[in-house]
Amino acid sequence: MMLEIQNLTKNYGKLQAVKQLNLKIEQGSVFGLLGPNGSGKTTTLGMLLGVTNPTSGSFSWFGQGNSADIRKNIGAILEQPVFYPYMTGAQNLNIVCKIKRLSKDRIDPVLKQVGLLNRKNDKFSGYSLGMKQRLAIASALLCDPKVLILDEPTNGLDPQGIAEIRQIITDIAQSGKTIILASHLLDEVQKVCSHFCVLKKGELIHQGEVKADFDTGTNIEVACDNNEKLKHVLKSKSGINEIIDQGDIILIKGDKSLSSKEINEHVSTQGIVLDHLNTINKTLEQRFLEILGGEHV
Amino acid sequence: MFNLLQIELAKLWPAKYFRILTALWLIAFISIPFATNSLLDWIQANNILGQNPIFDPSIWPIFDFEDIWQNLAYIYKMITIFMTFIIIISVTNEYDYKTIRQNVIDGFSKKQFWLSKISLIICFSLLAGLMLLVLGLIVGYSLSPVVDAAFVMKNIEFVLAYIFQVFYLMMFAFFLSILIKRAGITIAIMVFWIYIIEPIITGIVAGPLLDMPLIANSFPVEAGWNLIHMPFKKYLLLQAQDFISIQDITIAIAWCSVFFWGSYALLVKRDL
Repeated sequence: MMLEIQNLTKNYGKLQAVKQLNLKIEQGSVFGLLGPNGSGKTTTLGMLLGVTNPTSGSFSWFGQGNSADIRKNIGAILEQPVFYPYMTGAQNLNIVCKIKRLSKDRIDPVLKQVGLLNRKNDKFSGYSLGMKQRLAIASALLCDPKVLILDEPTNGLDPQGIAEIRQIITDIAQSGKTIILASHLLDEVQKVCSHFCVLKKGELIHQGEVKADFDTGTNIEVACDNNEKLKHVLKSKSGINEIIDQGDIILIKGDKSLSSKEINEHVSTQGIVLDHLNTINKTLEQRFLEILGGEHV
Repeated sequence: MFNLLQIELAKLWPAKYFRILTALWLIAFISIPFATNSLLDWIQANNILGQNPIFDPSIWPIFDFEDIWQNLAYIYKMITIFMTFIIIISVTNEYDYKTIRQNVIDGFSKKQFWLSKISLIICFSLLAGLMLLVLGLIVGYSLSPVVDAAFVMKNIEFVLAYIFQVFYLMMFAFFLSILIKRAGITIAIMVFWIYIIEPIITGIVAGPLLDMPLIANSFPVEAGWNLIHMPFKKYLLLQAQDFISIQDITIAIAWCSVFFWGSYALLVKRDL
């Protein structure tokens, strides 16, 4: 087990930022930590990384506890990239190497990996936000970490910067590393993550696999000038599990393999011309809102 | 500990404030004895103090062994504040940049972060002591009429007192920095406390009205200051404390422990 959290709680005075959190994260998974702003994501990561003292509860990395030395094998960025502004990129990474007791030889390869090698001797304060974020990822990769923790890694970046960072994350994920990704960008989590959980007001309200939650089937909307006949025709088509009459529109819930092209072909052989045909992709955003909406505040 | 010191020096070396403050301190440190000597020569040559033999600076053995150690230590402790600024900026910058948080995320324990700053303070204190030793020997050998080994070594314990004084004031600054976390406010409060608040309070407490000198000597800055007493009075009034008293050391050690464990407790207890 990569990480095991038991009853982790953080109170700020009367405010319970994290309530009795229990969570297990397995090796090799890309784990999305979702939740609206103020749901306790960063507080949770802060406790897991030793900067926030838990009020109660415990957690264990790699089954070995939570000492500072264990953190040396974790690459993590919380919120914005944090470096000494008066130092160059390479000097900053040198400090991290010294803290983690690593050889300086790691600096150039990680800078190359994030595309900053040619700017390594420029001061951090002169970097663009995207470059700062890339330096932070380089810093997190220095120790060839067993687990990489990224908190809102694309926050505040322009579309090009977002695309660059996402590509880096996808590449790292494909190399088999465990990644914990806190984000409110749901489509980001859906694209990258294998598992996810949802926090709301400090409580864990959902946990599951991205695939199991989203690849359940295909939803297709259809309509024509004679919906009764259409419903009748659809009943003879294989692969359809449910036909729901929504008034003007008929919603078909079918197998994963079902495509809108098949439906169109099938009904046209029966002499029906569709005036509406739309495949609905169930997104994490809808699922997320369902999960959040289903919980009482 | 050595590894921690290396990290601190790697953080400091590229910083502009560090180079400027260190250069200022070094220039002051090296030039003060020579400048003072020239000033005394000038006073002598221009007959500023009149003909009274007591006010004749040429007979004051300021840079002679054995007096030189206390005299130089006393003069140098007045510029220690330059070095405390380095500590204050170095610590508060870590809060400002949030690098203290990142250091811990990267694998420091909070205790290691604290120890890294302590190691820096110890390093600076020892360097300052070494500088005093070297300058004292150079100035003494070039100006003192007696250079017997026995005289040179006499009162050399003031070098140790000076090291402790530098360590003490830096620990005071370190404690304030951890407590306040902001460079400007920390420096303002420290300077205000050292030069205005505490002199007023101790002046009242030790004054004729209350007459409690021990209480006055137990205030934090006064306690550090008293490690090396003002030596020059003896040339005019023929009396001054020319030794390091156990009572002064005890009070200073007590305060030092407060700064030491206080800064540790604050750092470990608070969230970053």
